[in-house]
Amino acid sequence: MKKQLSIIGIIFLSFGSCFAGNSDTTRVSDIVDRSLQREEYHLIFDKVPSLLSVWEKGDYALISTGFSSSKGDYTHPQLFFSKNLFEIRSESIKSLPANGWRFFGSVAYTNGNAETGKWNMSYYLPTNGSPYYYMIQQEGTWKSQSYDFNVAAQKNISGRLSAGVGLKYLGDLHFRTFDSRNENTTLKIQVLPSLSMNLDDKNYISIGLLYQRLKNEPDISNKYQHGTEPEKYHLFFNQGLGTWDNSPSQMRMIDSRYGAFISYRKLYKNSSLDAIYTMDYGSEEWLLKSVSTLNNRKEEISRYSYFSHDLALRHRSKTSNGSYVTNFDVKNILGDGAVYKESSDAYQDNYQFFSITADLEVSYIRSNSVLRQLSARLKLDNSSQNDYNYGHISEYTNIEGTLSADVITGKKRDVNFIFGGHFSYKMNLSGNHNPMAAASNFFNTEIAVPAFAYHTSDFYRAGARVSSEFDIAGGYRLDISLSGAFLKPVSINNYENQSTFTLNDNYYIMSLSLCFNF
Amino acid sequence: MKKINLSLIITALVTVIMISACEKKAPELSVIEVTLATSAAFNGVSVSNIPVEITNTVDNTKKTVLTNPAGVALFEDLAPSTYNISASKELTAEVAFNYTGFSKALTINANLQNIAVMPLQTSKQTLTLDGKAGGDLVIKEVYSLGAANDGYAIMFKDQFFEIFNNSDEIQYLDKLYIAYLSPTKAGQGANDVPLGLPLTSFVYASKILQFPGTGTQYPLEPGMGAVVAINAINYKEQKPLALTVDNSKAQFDTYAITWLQSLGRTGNSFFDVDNPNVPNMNCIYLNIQNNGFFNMDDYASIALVKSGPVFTETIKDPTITTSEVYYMKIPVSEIIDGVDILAKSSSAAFKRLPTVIDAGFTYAQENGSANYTGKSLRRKVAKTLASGRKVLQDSNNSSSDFEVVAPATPHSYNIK
Repeated sequence: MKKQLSIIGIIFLSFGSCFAGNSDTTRVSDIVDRSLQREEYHLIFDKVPSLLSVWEKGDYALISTGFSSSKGDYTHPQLFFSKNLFEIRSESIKSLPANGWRFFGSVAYTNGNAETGKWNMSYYLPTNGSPYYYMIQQEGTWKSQSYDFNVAAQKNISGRLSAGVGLKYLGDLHFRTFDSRNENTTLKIQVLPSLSMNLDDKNYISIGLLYQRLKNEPDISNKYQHGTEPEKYHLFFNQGLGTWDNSPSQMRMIDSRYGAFISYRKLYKNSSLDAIYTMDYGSEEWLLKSVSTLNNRKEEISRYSYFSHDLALRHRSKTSNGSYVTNFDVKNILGDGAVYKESSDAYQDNYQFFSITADLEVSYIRSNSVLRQLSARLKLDNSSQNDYNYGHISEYTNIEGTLSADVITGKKRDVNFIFGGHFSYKMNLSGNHNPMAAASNFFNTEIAVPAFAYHTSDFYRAGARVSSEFDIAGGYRLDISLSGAFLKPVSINNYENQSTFTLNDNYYIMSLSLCFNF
Repeated sequence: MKKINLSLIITALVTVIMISACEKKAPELSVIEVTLATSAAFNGVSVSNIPVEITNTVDNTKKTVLTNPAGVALFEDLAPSTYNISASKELTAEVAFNYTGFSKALTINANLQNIAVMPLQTSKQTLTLDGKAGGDLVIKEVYSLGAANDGYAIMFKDQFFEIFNNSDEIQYLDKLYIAYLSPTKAGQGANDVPLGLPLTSFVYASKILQFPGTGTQYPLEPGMGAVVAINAINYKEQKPLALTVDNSKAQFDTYAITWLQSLGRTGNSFFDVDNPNVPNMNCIYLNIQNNGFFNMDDYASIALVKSGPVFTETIKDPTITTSEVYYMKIPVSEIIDGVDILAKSSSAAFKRLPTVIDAGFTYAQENGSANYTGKSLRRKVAKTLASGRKVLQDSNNSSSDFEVVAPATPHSYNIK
C-alpha cells in the first residue's frame, strides 16, 4: 500500500507541475534552445538536486510521444536484430519563488518488442560489468514495458544554503513470448539527498549521497526439449568468460549501490563551469529463491562487487552572437566476481572487469544564423574482462568521432524548420582476445568470439533529422521530429570468419516524435 | 574559452592514464600430471606414447596429450575444475596372448572420475591400465529414452536392448542374465545422490531378466543381433510420424504380469503388453513390490551376465531412508559385457559399473534432459569384413565405443 501511495505521489508531482500553466519553455527561441534547457538539467541538476537553487533556464513543461524502430544484422550477437519502442513522457520544472521551492518531475512509459538475441534471457546485458545472467542458445521474441518516475525537490533553507533530494523509480518487465517463456522484472529505486552552499554568489559547492537498490526477479520457465528439436533450450547461468552453471536454480538478484558526490560550480562574467565527481560502491548478489535446509546450500550463489567513478564537467560561455558548450564525462568501473563452489564450501574469485569511457563534446550555438548549431564529439571506450580461472581475457579500446550540424530556416514565430545531420566514424584502436583454457568452451566459440568481432569492428554512422515547430491553440508550442541513422561496418579487425555479421550488413534506426511544450 | 577547453582535455587525459594503471590478475590455471602404469596382469606393456584424455566435467571440453617414454602426460593451462581422466591401449592378438592366454585383440583401459583440481594446483594422478579379454557377446544398442513426437501415446513402451555376436563363432543366449543396474538416479537432477556402494567386487541390480532356453535353443550367428523388447509391438505402425521403432521383429519380449501374480504381486497392464508370438524372457528379480515391469531407467546402465550363478544376496539402498529399497548383488567376475549410460557428461559420480567392465560412461546429451527424444545409444562399428559381417568396437570404454543415433536402429548391423 505504501508503495502504491508513493507511486501516486510521484505521478501527482510529475503531472501537477506539468499542467501548472504556460512556462518559459514556450518563450525560448526554438527547438535547439529547448534541447539545451533539458540537457542542462539532465547533465547537472539531475545529479545534484540541491543545485536547483541556481537553475537559470526558467520553468518548462512538456508532454512528448515517440516511436522508434531499429533493425539490422550489424549488432551485438546477444542483443536484438530488430526492436520497436513506443514512449510517452511528461517532464517539467516548476519554481515557487515565494516559498523558495523548485521541483522537477518526469514520468515515462515505454512499450515495445524485440526479436532475436542469442544467449540472452535478460533482455539487457549488464552495464556494470557483471558477468551474471541467465542464458539459452535459442533466440527469442520479446515484449517489454517500463515505467520511469523521476522527481526532485529543492528548498532554500537560508540565504546561502539549499537542500534537495532526488527520487527515481524505474520498473520494467521484459518477457519472451514463446520458446521458453521468461519473465524478467526489475525494480530500481534511487535516492539522492544533497546540500549546496553559495560561497560568494560566484562559487557554489555541493555534497550529497547516493543510494540505489535494484532488484531483478527472473522467472524462468525452461522449455522442455521435445523430440527432435535442436538442443537450444538448455538453461545456463553465466558466471564469467567460460565459467557457467549448466543446471541453475531459480534466483533473484539484488544490486545495492552506496555512493557520495561532490560538485563545484563557478560563475564567470560570461561563462560558467560545473564539475561533479561521484564515487560509488555496488554489490550485486544472486540469491536462491528457495533454500533447501536438507542440502545445506548457500543462499548466495554468485556475487559481483564494483567501484565506479564518474567525473562530469560542463562549461558554457557566451559570445557576442552565440555560445559555446563543452561537456566532458569520464567514467570508470572496476569490478570483481566470485562464485560459490559447493565442493569446497567457499567463494572462488574468478572474474575481473575494468572499463573506462571518456566523452568530450564541444558545441557552438549561433543565435541569429541559418547555421544554428555545430558540434564535435569524441568518445573513447576501453573495456577489459578477465576470467582468471580460464585465463580468458577480452579487451579492446575504441574511439568514435562525430561531427553534427543543425540548420534552421529562420526565426519565425509561426513555423520553423530545422534540418540536422551527423556523421560518426568508430575506429578500433586495440584489441586482445586470448581464451587460453576456454578455447574449446562454448562461451568462447558462441559468445566471446562474435562479441569481440563486433566490438573491434570499425563502422561509420550517418544520420539526419528534420524538425518543425509551430504554435498551436492556447499558446502552446508543438515540435515534430523525424530522424534516422544508418550504421555500416567498414572493417572487421578480428575473427572475420566467426563474426555474426559481414561487411554487407548494416543497422538502421528511425524515430518519429511529437512534443507539446507548455 | 580556449584555456578552459584545453584544461578540460588535459584533465581528461590525466584521468584516463591514472585509472588505466590498474593491473589485471594473473590467470589462476592448474596442471594435471598423469602417470600411466599397468596392472600386475599386464606388467611389461609399454606405457609410452599412449593418448591420455581429460574431460572437464563442467564445460565438457576435452584435451588429449601423449605420454612420454616414462608414461607421463602433462596437462598445462587448465581451468580449475573437476576432471575425468582416461587412457586406453590396444593390444594385438599376439601381444594379448602373452598376458591373457587368449589370442584375441584386447584393449586395456584406465579411468579416474571427478578429480577436483584447485586454482594454481598441480594435481598428480596415477592411472593403472587393466582389462579383460573382450566378450564374444556384446551389448550393441540400448534404447531407453522413449519415443519423440508421439503425442505421449507411446512414451517409453518401445524400449529395447540388443545383444550382438561379435565373434566368428555361434554363441548361445540360453540362460544368460541381463541386469538393470542401480541406482535409478543417474545425475539428472540437482538432488540426485550417488549410491555410494563400492563397485570393486559387485554391481547392484534393481531388475534381472534371463534368456529362456536350456543351453542350445537360442543360437546367435556371428554378426547377428538379438533384440529384447519391453513390448514386441510395431510402434512405428501405431504412430508413423513418431520417432520410434518397430519392435515386432524382436527375438524376445519381456512380460512380468503372470510371474508377479504367481508371487501374489500385481503387474502393470498399461505398460506391460505380451506378444504371444515372441518368446518371453524369464523374470528373475524385480525390486518393486507391485505395479512393476521390466522397463529400463531413462538413463539405463545394463550388464550381460554369465549363466550359472543363482543370485540371492541383496543389499539395502543406503541413500533412501524413507522406504526400504533393495538391490541384488551381481559379482563383477560374472559380467560378460556392460555399458554405463548416465544422464549427462558431469554424472561420473553415478557410475554403476567398475572400470574393468566400462572404463567410461556414455550419455545421449551433454547436458542431460534427453527423455522422449527418440535417441538411442549404439555401439560403433570397428570394421566391416569382406563377408559383410560387422565387427563392433569393444574397448570396454563406452565413452568411445558408443554413439548417439535417432531413431533407434534394431538389427541394423545384421548381415543381410
